[in-house]
Amino acid sequence: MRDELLFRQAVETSRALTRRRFLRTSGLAAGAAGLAPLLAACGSDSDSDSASGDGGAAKQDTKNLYFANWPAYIDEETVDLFEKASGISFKYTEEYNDNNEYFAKIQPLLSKGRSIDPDMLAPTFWMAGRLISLGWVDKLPLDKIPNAKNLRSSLQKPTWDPTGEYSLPWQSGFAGIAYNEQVTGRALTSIDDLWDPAFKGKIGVLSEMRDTLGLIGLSEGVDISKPTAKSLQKAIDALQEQVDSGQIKQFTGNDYMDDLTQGNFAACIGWSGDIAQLSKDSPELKFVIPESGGTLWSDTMVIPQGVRRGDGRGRVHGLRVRPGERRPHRGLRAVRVAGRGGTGRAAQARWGFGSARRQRAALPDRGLVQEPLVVRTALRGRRGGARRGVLEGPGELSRATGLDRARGDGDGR
Amino acid sequence: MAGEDRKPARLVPWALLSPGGLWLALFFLVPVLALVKIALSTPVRFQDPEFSWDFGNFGTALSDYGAQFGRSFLYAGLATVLAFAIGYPLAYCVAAYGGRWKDLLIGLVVIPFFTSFLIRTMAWTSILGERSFVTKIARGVLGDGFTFTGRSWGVVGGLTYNFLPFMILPIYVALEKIDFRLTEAAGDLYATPVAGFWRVIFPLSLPGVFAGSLLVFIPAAGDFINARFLGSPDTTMIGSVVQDQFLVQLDYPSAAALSLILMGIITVAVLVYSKLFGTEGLAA
Repeated sequence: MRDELLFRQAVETSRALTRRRFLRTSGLAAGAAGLAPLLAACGSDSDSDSASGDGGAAKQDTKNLYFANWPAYIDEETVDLFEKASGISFKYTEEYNDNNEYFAKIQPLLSKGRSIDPDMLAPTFWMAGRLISLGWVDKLPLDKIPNAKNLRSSLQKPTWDPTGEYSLPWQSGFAGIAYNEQVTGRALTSIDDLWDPAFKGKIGVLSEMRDTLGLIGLSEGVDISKPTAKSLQKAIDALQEQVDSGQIKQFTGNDYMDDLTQGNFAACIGWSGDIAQLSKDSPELKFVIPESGGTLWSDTMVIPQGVRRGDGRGRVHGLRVRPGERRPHRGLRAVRVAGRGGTGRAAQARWGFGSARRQRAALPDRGLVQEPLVVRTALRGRRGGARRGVLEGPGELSRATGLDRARGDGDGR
Repeated sequence: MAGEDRKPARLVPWALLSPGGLWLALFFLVPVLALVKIALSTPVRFQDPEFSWDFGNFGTALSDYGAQFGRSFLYAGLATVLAFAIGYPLAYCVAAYGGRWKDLLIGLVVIPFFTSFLIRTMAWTSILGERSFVTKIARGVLGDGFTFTGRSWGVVGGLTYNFLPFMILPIYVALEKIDFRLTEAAGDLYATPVAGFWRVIFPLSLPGVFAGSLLVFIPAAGDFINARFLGSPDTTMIGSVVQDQFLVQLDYPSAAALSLILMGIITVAVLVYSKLFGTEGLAA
């Protein structure tokens, strides 16, 4: 029941967000048209927020805006257009590559109550939840983001942001099975298909354990919306078994895309948006949400604490959250979405959201938002236990991160 | 009187050493001490670790990741030996027979390495990938199940390739300084060409071999890129663990302890190595 609800919600959410995405992909005409009223709406300059952070960044700055986002997530023209229309100098970087890694980068300053350079960040929802619960983000200037009211109601006060004052969504998508049909020679529909002996040593899983353990947990009958160390252990054991048997070749970040395209992976756990993009050039690549269910991720926009306060942020938020864009996008593909649970419900969903080349993750859950490190805790508990070296040591879990950044840099954008 | 005269003189060497000493203190001693402090701390969730004389970090680091330590040194050692086996003949040929092409030839050795380390390693994942012709040829010889990537030989091969110039260049510099007429002299003294090489040229080139093997071994032991791209969960090296502890687990104390242990082992290994092979060669 719940699963089905969640699933349906996920599809709808993705559709809703897809529309929004057209803003950046289908061009600026829409954005430009929408900009004028927006600017009028946020025309007031310099109201004095007293910033909480120190470090001298507290003074008013309505001339500069710095947004740290994931790679390949905006039409670059939008940046210029925004600059021209607003007169604000807009620094848009693609420095987000991994939630944990970015957190490691900002934690030393934020934990001391100091501010960081970016005015806006794009953490995935569970990380947004962590930042919000730690009090490291500021409230959004919602009075300057009138379009926020156009959001679906389920996204207005999401679990990771119960008051809805700290975050707005950027984009969403799924984690599921991505496979290369030329290599597999058949369609895959379930996680068990990944463990087919024919694919031994040709399977990749994401270092993002919220997705990998989430999907495996679902296939093991674990309720991942209420994860406990014990129930997740089932998923961890199942994963460990496949690592030990040599079924799994690698834990990857977003770089699974290369291995999948080249046929080094027959199949792997991947992200919907990536495959939607890749399959344009490589139609043999398929994405499917496994029969037992997939996981939903959502990236958000938040304002880190005590940074320069100006109107720019409100404008960027406003620019994105606009209703009524329905233009189809050439990247759209029909992707089969298998229903969950015993419902047997299969839906054809069209989506083109979630551009590629970024790493992110999510479980559609409540618990992990509050306890984002539960996976790690479970592993740590085992470390000293009877079987040491879980997954070759917990270190193996997400060794991708540092590299992904470097790799992202190398990627053509 | 005399004592007062001597005093400033005694200070001169110290004064001359002070820039270097200061540099060492600032950029070596201070960071290492900071690392030691972190290694002796207790992690606090989402905050900086608290200093607590927690020596347990070292114990758990060793007991949890002993396998990765062992693997790192094994792979780095193999890569060093391989790099020597490939690099020495190459450096020798260039130095002995290169003539006026010497500079060009050495340039050709170095040029591929202007490309990013990461890109080169990733390129190998395609060259040695499942569907590459190299793999197909290898499968013809070694059987259908053979793969390069995801195996220890893949990682060792990647390490060898990536650090090869660090072996070639010092050996080349050492060989280049040798007057190859010495081989003629050895021949005049009834040495065979092989004996002439082993008893004259090779000992003279040892400083280069010594420097080269250190330059390959040390970074290779801490490397994680090759294991990341060319390996599998079975070939993780200690560098992967350290970067993961730092950046993903946010467990700074464990990561610091692992780094210090790695530093310690490498230091001891280098000292032993220089005792056994190095000093003699360096003195020559």
